[in-house]
Amino acid sequence: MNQRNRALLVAAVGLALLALPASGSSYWIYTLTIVGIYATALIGLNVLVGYAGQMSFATTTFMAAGGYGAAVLTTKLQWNPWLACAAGVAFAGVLAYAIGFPLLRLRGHYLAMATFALAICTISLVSGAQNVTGGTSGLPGVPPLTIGSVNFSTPLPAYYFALAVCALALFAASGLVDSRTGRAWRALAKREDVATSVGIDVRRAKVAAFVVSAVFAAISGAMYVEFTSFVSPDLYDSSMVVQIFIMLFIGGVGTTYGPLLGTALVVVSPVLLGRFSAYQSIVFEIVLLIILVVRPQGILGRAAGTRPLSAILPAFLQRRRSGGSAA
Amino acid sequence: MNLSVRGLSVAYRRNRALANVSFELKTGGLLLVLGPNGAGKSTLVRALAGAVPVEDGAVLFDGRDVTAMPAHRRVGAGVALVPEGRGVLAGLTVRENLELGWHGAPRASRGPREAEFERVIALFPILAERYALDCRALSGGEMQMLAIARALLARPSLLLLDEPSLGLAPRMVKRVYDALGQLNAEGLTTVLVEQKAVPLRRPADITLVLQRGSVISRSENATLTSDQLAELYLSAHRESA
Repeated sequence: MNQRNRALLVAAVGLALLALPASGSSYWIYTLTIVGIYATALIGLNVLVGYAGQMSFATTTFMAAGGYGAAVLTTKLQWNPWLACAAGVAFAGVLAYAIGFPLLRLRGHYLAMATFALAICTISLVSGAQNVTGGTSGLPGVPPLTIGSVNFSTPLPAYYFALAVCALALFAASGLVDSRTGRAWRALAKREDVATSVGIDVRRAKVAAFVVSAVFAAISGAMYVEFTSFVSPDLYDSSMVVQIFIMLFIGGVGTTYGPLLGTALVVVSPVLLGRFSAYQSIVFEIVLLIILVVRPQGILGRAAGTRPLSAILPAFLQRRRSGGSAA
Repeated sequence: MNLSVRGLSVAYRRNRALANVSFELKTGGLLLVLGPNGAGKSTLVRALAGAVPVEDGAVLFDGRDVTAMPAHRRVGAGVALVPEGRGVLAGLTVRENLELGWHGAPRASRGPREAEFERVIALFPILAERYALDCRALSGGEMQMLAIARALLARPSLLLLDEPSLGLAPRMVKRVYDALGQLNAEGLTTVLVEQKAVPLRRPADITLVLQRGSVISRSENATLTSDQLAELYLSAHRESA
């Protein structure tokens, strides 16, 4: 698909999403609000895994930091919800920075295992800190985000809010990936020695990607808690850790719209499965297996080591024109 | 840039990869390092670039001890490495690869982006036609040119090249070496690692032959032929056997 057609498709999908509430379907409004909220976290994770090449399962840790930050500060300390959300997100960013330097010394499977351990520790921590987090029962009655009379936990404002935040996240991530920092991420994902040889501080670049993904995850976590008025450890359990990865890999790692597609497919799948939705978990795993075997790069991804036709064809034609001067 | 290396040793865990290598290279000088696989050639240039930790010895640029300076900061100090295997970044366009090099230059010495690009493109004009292409679409020779051009954009005073002729057709080797010869003639201090004799414009100021991490031959202003090099490798092998 060329750039023009892609832009047209994105514009059409955007317009359809803006017009969706006119259909009056509260189910779809609710479902797509959840898609928007989770997709925000996935866009951040895509920066870390897809562009910077660092495998991390810690997304739920930072979602919890944002979610619990907002919930605890509003219910226990009566903070303004906006301020509480901002504090939760800032806390997640600082936490990611602090643990990023030692953690990102690890590579590949070791990094994946360490971040998975972090995600499991998070569940234990929020379950155990009964006085602060409400333990396994969680914290109900989180006050909603409001502007004047607009309440962002009600369906329509929540839908547009999630859509706007998700679009902003996509815009910000695309901008970052195309920036100097993004080029540094892509360089270190390909070859760390080459990245270093052009003056990139590889450790700092990795931590920057880790912080970006943490901030996006925390925004998503805070939005979810504000939308549902409730937080509990179940939101961040190990099945969620796995589900986030399914979303990322189904859509396509390292692609602009892969996280959106993956999130949408996973969140919407109970509807698609109809009366088989009770088998959702096993269907996910079968679908993931099929995708890993048939199309490991995801639906929108391109296989590693393959060259796009758009790259091969012009080079071939240029070489023909210049008489094959290159070896 | 004067490069002074004193008793440089590198070990990977318990395996000694480089033992007690010393030399002095004047500004604009050319050092050629030859040796078979596993001789420690790449370890030497990587140690000079700061990419591997040094076990013992010192590396001085213009009298400044940079032995403990991290690799990414050495780029700003004027040291550029063209790593083995070309080191172009697949998935990035030719221009994006070049931009990475341009950003590596110290701000004080960095010229305007387009002017700097034109400066290096003048050396490898074919790259101008490939600007928008993913570098996976380049030929091996073009990739090597891109890797060198990217290193030059960092405005180095010392250029380290790890087997730039590897896997290239003889015609491309000559083109790459013509460009390197021109750069060296313009005053760029160059350290060049190769496995076999290469078509240099002029004899190297210093030629070191490494075998198992140690210098087995050192010559100045001399050109080693392939036969001489083979004889050196074989005699070192016989002595160690």
